[in-house]
Amino acid sequence: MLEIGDQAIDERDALSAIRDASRNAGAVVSFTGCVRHEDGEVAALYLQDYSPLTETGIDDAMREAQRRWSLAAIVVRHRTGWIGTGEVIVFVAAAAAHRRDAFAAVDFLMDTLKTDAIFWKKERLASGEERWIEPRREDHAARARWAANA
Amino acid sequence: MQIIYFGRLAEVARCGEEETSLPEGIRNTAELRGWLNQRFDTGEFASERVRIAIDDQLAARDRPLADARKIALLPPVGGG
Repeated sequence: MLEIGDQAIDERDALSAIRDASRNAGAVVSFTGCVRHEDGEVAALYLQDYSPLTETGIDDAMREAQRRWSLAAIVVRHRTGWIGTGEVIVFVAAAAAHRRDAFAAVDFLMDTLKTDAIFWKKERLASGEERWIEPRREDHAARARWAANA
Repeated sequence: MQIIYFGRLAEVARCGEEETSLPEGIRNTAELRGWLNQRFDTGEFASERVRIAIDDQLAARDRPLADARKIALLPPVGGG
C-alpha cells in the first residue's frame, strides 16, 4: 500500500494499516524518517514528486521486496511539499511471518527510496538560503549492497 | 508541446514548465539536450545524470520526439 501526499504522515494510522493488512504475521517492522535540523542549520525541506513516475517506481521497489522476501504486507507513505524539521518525511513498514524478512525488506526499501525514488529535495537553511540536494555517496553505497545479492 | 523542468533544472530554465514547439531539426532526445543547453546558456542538459521522460515514460538517449506531447527533464533523484 503506497500513499504519497502533502499531508502530515500519521505514524499510528500507518502502523494500524499494516497490522490490519497482516493479521496473522508474526513480525511487523517499521521505519520512520524525519527531517533533521542539523544543529539548527536546516529550517525545512521541500519534496517535489512527478506523478505517475514516482508511484510507478516505488511500486516496482515494493514488488521487488515481495519477490525477495516472504512478506504479508508492505506500507509506504511518503510526504511531498514543505516539511518542517522533526516532521515525518517517510514511513515504511513490512509484515512477515518472521522478523528477518521484515527487517530486510524495510532496509531494502529505504535504501532504494533514498537513491531511486523520483523525488527532488530542497533544503531551506535557517539563513533563508535554499539549495537542492542529491543523494550522498553513502546512499549509493547502501543501495549497491542489494544489487550484489539480488 | 509541454516541457517540464524538475528540481534544480527549473532554476536553470527559469520556469517549472512551458508550452512550446520544438524548432525544426530537433528530432531526438540528444538534439533536444543540445537545444536546451543553447537556449539556457548552460551545459546542464548534456549530463548523463539528467534523464528525460517522454509522455511519462523514461526515454532512451536517442529516442525520437516526433510523437511526443510532454517532455520532462529529470535531474538526479532521491527520496526518504
